[in-house]
Amino acid sequence: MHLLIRCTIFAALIAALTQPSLLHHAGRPEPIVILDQRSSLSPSARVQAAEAARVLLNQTPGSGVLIQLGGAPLSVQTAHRTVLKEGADANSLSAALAEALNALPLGGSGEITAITDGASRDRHWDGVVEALLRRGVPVNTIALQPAPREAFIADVRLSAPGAGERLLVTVDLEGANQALSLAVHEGDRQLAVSSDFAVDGSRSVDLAVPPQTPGFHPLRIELSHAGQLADHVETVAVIQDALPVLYASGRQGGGGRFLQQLLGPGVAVRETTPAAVADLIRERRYAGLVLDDVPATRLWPVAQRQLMHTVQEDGMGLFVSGGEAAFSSGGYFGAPLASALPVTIRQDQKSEDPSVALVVVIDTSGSMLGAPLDLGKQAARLAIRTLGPADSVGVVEFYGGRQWVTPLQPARNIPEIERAISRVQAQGGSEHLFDALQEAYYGLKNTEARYKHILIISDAGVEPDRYPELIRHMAQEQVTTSTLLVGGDVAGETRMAQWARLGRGRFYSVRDEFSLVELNLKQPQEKPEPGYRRGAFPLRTTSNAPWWRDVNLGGMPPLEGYARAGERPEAQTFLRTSKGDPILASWQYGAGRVTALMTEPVGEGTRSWSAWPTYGAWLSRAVARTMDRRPGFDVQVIRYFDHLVISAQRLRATGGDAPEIRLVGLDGVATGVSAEEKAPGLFIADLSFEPSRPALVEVQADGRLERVASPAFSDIVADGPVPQSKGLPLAQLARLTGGTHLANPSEADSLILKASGELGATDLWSWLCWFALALYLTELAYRRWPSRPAFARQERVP
Amino acid sequence: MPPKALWDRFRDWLAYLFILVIALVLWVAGAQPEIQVGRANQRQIFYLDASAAMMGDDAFDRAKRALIADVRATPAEQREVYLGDGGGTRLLSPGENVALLIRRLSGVAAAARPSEFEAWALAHVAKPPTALRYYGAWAAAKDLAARRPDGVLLSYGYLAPPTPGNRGVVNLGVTPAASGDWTRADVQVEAVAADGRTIGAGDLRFSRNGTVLAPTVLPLGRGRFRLDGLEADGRLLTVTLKAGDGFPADDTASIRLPDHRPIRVSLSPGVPSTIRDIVRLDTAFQITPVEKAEVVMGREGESLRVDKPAFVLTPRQEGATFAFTVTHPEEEARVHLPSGLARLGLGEADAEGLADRLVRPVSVDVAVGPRRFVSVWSSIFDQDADFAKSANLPLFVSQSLRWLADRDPWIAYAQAGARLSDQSGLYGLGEDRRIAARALNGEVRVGAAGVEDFDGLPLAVSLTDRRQTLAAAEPPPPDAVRRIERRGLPDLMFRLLVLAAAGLLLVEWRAFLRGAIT
Repeated sequence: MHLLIRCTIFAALIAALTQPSLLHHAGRPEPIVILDQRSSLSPSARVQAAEAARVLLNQTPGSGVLIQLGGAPLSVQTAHRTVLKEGADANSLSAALAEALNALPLGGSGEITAITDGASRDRHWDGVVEALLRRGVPVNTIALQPAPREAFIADVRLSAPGAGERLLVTVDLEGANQALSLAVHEGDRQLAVSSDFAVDGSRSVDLAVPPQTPGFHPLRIELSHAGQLADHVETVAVIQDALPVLYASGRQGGGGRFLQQLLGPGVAVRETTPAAVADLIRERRYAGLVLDDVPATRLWPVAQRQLMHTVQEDGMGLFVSGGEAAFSSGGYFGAPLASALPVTIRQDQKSEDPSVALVVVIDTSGSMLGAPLDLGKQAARLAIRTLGPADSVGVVEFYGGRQWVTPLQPARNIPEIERAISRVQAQGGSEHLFDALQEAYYGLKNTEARYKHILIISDAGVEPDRYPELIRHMAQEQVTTSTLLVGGDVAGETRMAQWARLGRGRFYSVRDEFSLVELNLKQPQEKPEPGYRRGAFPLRTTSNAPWWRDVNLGGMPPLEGYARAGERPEAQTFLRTSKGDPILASWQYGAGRVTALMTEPVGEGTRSWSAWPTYGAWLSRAVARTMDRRPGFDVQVIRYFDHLVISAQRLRATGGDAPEIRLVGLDGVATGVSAEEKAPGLFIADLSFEPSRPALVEVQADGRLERVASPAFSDIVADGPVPQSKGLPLAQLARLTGGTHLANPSEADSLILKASGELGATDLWSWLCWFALALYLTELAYRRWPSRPAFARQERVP
Repeated sequence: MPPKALWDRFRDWLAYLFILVIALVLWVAGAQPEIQVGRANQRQIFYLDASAAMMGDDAFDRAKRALIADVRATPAEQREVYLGDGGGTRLLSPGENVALLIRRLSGVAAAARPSEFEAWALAHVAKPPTALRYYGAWAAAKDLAARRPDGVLLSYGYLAPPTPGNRGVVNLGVTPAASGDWTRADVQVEAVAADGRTIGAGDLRFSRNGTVLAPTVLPLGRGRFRLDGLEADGRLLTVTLKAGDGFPADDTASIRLPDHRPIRVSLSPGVPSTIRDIVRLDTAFQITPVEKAEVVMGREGESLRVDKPAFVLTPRQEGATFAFTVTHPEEEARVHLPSGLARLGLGEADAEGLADRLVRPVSVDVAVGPRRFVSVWSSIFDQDADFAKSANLPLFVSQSLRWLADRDPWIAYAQAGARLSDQSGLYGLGEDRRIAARALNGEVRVGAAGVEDFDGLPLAVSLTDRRQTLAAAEPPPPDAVRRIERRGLPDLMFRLLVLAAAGLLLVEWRAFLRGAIT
């Protein structure tokens, strides 16, 4: 026994040397409670919250963790307590949740209960939520009702207009109050002010600020109550650069400058030549092209197709205008660009009777005596009957000599000329056709007529001469020659046919009166009717055209000239003449828009419009609506305390060069920022940035600039009341983490906290040492026990 | 010698002395005395980095062992131990038994996520003087070392060996195909080598749901590559460096292409031709019978399936306020529709034109209902309406149908430990409901590389950290790791006392057996 005890002692000491520890589960819930006692809550809510916290913590008195946001420390027994004092820390629910999670060591399976109204000075709870989900820690939430508050500015949202456009400021308000007003200031200038309004709960108020210059504009939004300043917010407005527009004109010298004056600051006009258009639009840096009075001969079909492709595929806007050199007058009928226009190019034809000067050279030699001369005179009379007062006619007879039967004169008195022809008699003598031809030629040469013609009536029995040379020469001088053979023989027929051919005329052979044909020397011609019309053309607008809802179109003067075109049913026609001819039409062409203005915007057709006060606004609206106003990038700026993340997603085409991202300082100096391309066209820059500085970001690519601004402290509520709209959605948090949501603190006792998996550890070293001590004392007692004579005999060592 | 008596006084002074000394030694040993030498109040924080930098070989196990040894050597009341798992999880509080540390560390492994040591240290180590002892990789600690924050005494208990010439995939992202086909996506990959060598397309292997893929790879230079027009069918696209290295965490990256297979739409006879043509011509949609449809379109009054998301044309009602009504289930986070009509694909001109036509302002109402639902006044789609001729009409119809179908969002990239980039709002009607539910009115941060589930939406997360990949090759300064100064003699005293007690017991036993004592 003695030996046994002693061995046990040694075993205990050896075990103690290994320093063993015993791990055990706590076995009871150890609640972790976040208690909101901030002054933003009503007194009754704070009391209810405190009572709920006591109920939870008293489930296990003396254990549990309390994290209190503001207020006086709660009188309750806890194992650990943290009080976040009222101010920045106390207003951060994300910090409170992180603190609560930190109370749970790795492997601990507790749960957190948050008794709060959800308001938080920042929304950066993404990291702690990820940790909660990763560790499987449920969060129970008990909702508190916020106290009624005076109206304050919860958020300010700004549009991002371009130059010349008004800025829309949307102010979200929370709280309750009446007789409120909002004002927008830039420095000492008041830019906009609202009328009085009231808030009860939440509402949004819009304010329109007049157009500002491109750039960053620090603004101050002030909320006043009964004339006294109640709240204010500093922010930064962004005005984008003017729309870059290319202007190519065929006739309007310096038209770009005038157009810029008309269109105002919202558009930046760059003037170029039609020949340079193809190269410039390939750069993809322009919102659109204004093609003003450019004829088709100066914009080759290849360039037209490229232009159409750019509009259709890239979305570039195209504004086509003009008069005498555009549309049908410009030769666009059948051109590639015609199919892209919102009007149909009309190629009207008109029938035109050209003026004719005719000299009939009639053979009155002896060989023509009798029937041949009669036939000849009949043919001559037939030929001159087709002439009109605008024409000229003369008759020359030749026999041994030549003479004018009637001199070349306007064909106003045809019957008289016919009578003169009838009086012609056959005379003997040699036939001097050559001289007669010359006579006729010289007579015609000095006559003003569209067509000059000689008709030779003969039996071909003439003296040989250099007829072919003369006739050929006359033809070259635009005096044509036709021949009419009366009677005659084959040789004569051949000769006279040759003369007609050389004279670019016709050959007729008349043998008897039955073979007389009407000599129609006057052929009406179809000519293109001029597409441009001059005059005074009053216009009628499409009622309530959306493009000009806020533009007063009253007093629109008549046009002084316009190009005629047909209306396309698929397009929208906004303006027409009183007779229905389209003047302004527009339609979607693929990704882009094409607008046609059937007159010169800075030329003859709108000469009187310069006096119309609304002309500039009207035209700039039409141009702006046509142009591609889509940004090149979608730029987001996200603040995370002292970090700034700039995200720029290319919206147009991928594969272009990386954008240049810059941060602009308050002094206007820009500093480049390096970005990584995380996905096709998506560039991310992540950098340290002071929360107190506004982040003014510029993204430059493809010759275009996008601006985005993030005011200082935009991700947190540095001071003042915390908006509920930016709060943590408690029910969602509970649902997401597997916790329970209670809408009322009085229901806190229904929360049964599960036993914690918290581990505890007890060192066994001490216990083993004391166990060894106890065994030693036991052995001592055993040694000294009186009634052990046998032992006394055994223990004695000889 | 006469027999002893229990209560008799000791006659043998040597035995008495032995008993007293042995009892005293055992008693004191049980009290666990400690002798503190030096500053007893200095807070000693231990940080074990469990980030991707520690995934090489057995670096993390070595770091754990070094940590435990150093923690044992530190008085319990002074030590705090944290795990760098993205949130700085507490491993051991002051006063806690080191056995708890061992237990809590069992099964813990490094994960493919970036280190947050510097940010954690700056945020938490705010009460000087603080000794901060780091167990991890030099790449994660060097920036803090360079900053030298006041009151922080930084030392290193373990630094993982570098991987010279480390190579890794540093970017993997997806966007809608530049062709405009909603059913396809463009992917961009970037891989770099720490030693500056260029990585070519031949160094990469692509696979789709485990099956090797041989796509057309367009090199963009500097280790960047693009794959255009991949079918967006919901499968996992993985890119792997063919030749691995000592730092495997960055050798592979995966991204799940969204499931944008054609949406099955049924059209009732009452659907006007303007809309019918749009649906027919858009490759994102497939017209099917109503039984197979995911979304139904029709007019109010027709027999439509009420159990499916629907796009319904309604007659304009006198007194009704909203021309567009978007309904979503209550459990969904609110669809963040801007007050304007831009997200419905309606530009300002169209909205004004519609307002003129309808003789009232045009606005959108958001309501709660049993399922997703879009209702629009049918007069808006009349052939002679300006909206019917607008380019925004197809956009409005397609975005509405896609929203109704509740297809996968456009997640541009999912980088471990970073904010999630959900571009659904940029390319569609609004944010994805699952992402919005997780965001809780804020942002979403993803965890370590792997697969995260967002309410049934699997998300492939990859390390893709350029800084991590390049820094993995950086060697730490020589002699950076120092053994902890053992200023106290905590356990030694106990051991000596126990050994002394054991020795005394042995001698006493021996003496007793010899009869020298009784």
